Amino acid sequence: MNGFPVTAYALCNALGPTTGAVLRRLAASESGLGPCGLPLPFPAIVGAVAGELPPLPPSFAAYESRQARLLNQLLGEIRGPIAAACERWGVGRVGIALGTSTGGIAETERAYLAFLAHGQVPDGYDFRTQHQPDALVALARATCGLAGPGLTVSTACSSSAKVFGVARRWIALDVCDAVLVGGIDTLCQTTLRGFQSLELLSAKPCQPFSAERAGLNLGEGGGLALVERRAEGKPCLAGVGETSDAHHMTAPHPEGRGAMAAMKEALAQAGLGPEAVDHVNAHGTGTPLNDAAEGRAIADLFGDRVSVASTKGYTGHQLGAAGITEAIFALVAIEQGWTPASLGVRPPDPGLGIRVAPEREERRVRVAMSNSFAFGGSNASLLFAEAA
Amino acid sequence: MTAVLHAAGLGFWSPGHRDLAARLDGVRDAAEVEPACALLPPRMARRASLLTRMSIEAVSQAAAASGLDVREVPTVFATARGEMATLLALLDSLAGDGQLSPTRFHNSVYNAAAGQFSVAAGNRQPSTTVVAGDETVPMALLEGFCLAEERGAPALIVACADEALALPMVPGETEPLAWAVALVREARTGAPALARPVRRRDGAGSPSALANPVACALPMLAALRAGEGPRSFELPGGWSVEIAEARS
Repeated sequence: MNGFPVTAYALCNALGPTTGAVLRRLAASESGLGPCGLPLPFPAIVGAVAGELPPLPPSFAAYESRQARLLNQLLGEIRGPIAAACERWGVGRVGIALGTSTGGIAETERAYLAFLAHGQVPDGYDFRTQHQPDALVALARATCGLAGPGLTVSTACSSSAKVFGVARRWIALDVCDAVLVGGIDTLCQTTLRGFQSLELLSAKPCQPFSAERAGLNLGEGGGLALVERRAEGKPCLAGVGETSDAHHMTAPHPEGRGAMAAMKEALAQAGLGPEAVDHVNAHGTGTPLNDAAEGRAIADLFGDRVSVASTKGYTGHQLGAAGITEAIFALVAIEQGWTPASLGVRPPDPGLGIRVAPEREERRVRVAMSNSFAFGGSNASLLFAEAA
Repeated sequence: MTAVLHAAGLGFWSPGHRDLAARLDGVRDAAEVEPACALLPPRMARRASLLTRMSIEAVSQAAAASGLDVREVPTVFATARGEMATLLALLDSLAGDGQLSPTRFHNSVYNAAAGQFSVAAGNRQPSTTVVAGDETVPMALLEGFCLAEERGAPALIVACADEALALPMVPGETEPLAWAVALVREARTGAPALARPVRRRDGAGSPSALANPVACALPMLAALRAGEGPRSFELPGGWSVEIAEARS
């Protein structure tokens, strides 16, 4: 297996503020979903990060925002491995690629409403350090001393899956020796009301791949992972399929054509056939159309042999942070030997022809796939494999 | 050996300038207020932002100039700010009756241009959208080179665009501007060789400061159009890109 090892990761989402807390609740099949605390003219269930996140250090106050606090929280957990990578490879050889769908739009919403009401923005609001997606990269570089290349991928809900493609390219083509990848998105009025306008939100906890699925729940959070050129005993990034649907801005191709192409491409890069895959963490948003299209593609490629789970019932759909979160869940399946229950799947949709796991399963997972699909028909499929 | 691709076609649009020649030669046409953007069907074009339409116009020009098929070419779109006018419209809706237009909402994502291009062209190839503040141009070129190299793709188009910084409470102005370059693997007559961007020094750590992050490519585009080389161009963030040889 050729691939690049993933040597460290961190998570923060509705399941908890730290990786340990998140994984304990995932293992216990406990949902992080609950009623939305933001003022909305409709009922909504969301996966919100509970409580106040610690503020940024005073020297980084210009970046102060909810997404920056999430990043700061995540960086705090893996500062050691990042420093070790900088030491091993040199700071100029450690790159950073982050995904976000919305950037800091939550801060801009507040600033604009205040501007309309009072003619001025709240103290401390800065579009460039709080709204623009590159602010996250600048903050991570500044706090960790990374001096390699840095960018943000913003392809809506595939953003933080596609950053693994960037890492794979940069390391394979000798741009870098290590890449910090990840993604962050926060709940805000624009996305909640926008998804409601598209009639994609469920007023109940989402039920991916269920006959009773009625839409998605939004979530917030983020994750980081460190991909390196070499390391012993760590699961590897083995393939990254990236395709376009060329069908519709918000609806997937009904036969999952782009999803299928992305999954096949990830397998081809890894030199593996579909029979090698033990587990698929599906995009599985819980909307009727997404799950039908993705189910069709998974059934066509894998039949009902592979164990499929959607983890949106734990975290909600974290948009630009979904890819990194579910990539880490796939890595955990390989490292710890269990796959999560697909919350909400009962009663399963018999028409899909795939095997969605209603309970947590103890099993050896050698190879795991994680899918992320997005507005604009942007598809990414990640393939991870156990240490060689 | 750093990877080399050949710039086989250029595209450009800004208000008053229908193409790169008009811009570089300083020929301003006051009637040129909307990009042609013939690729988008009228119904999509009516609902698409200026950023999306000028991005797609620049890609279409680069494809036409290089003879590439818009259905088959992988793409890298890039923007420092994204869909500012659409965002402002959504914020006004939030401040008003709170109801968002579903079309505006899905066209507010940073990959709105990439998605609408793929749908309109029927293009299923890999595509990404890079957002990197002042380093948007070098990062878009780097991702284009890396994607082409990783996939062994014979060609790829990189497009960078920003529209006006529309938010009234945000200081500064950005001139709307879109450009694209078609990069092909095989050497061609009249297609200057361009090397993958390299980092000459660490320029990291500072947040975005440029008014027009994607406009920093204009000197490079001028040299590519004129077939000048070898020449090196400094780009933000300590990046440098080299036209490896003169037009042959």
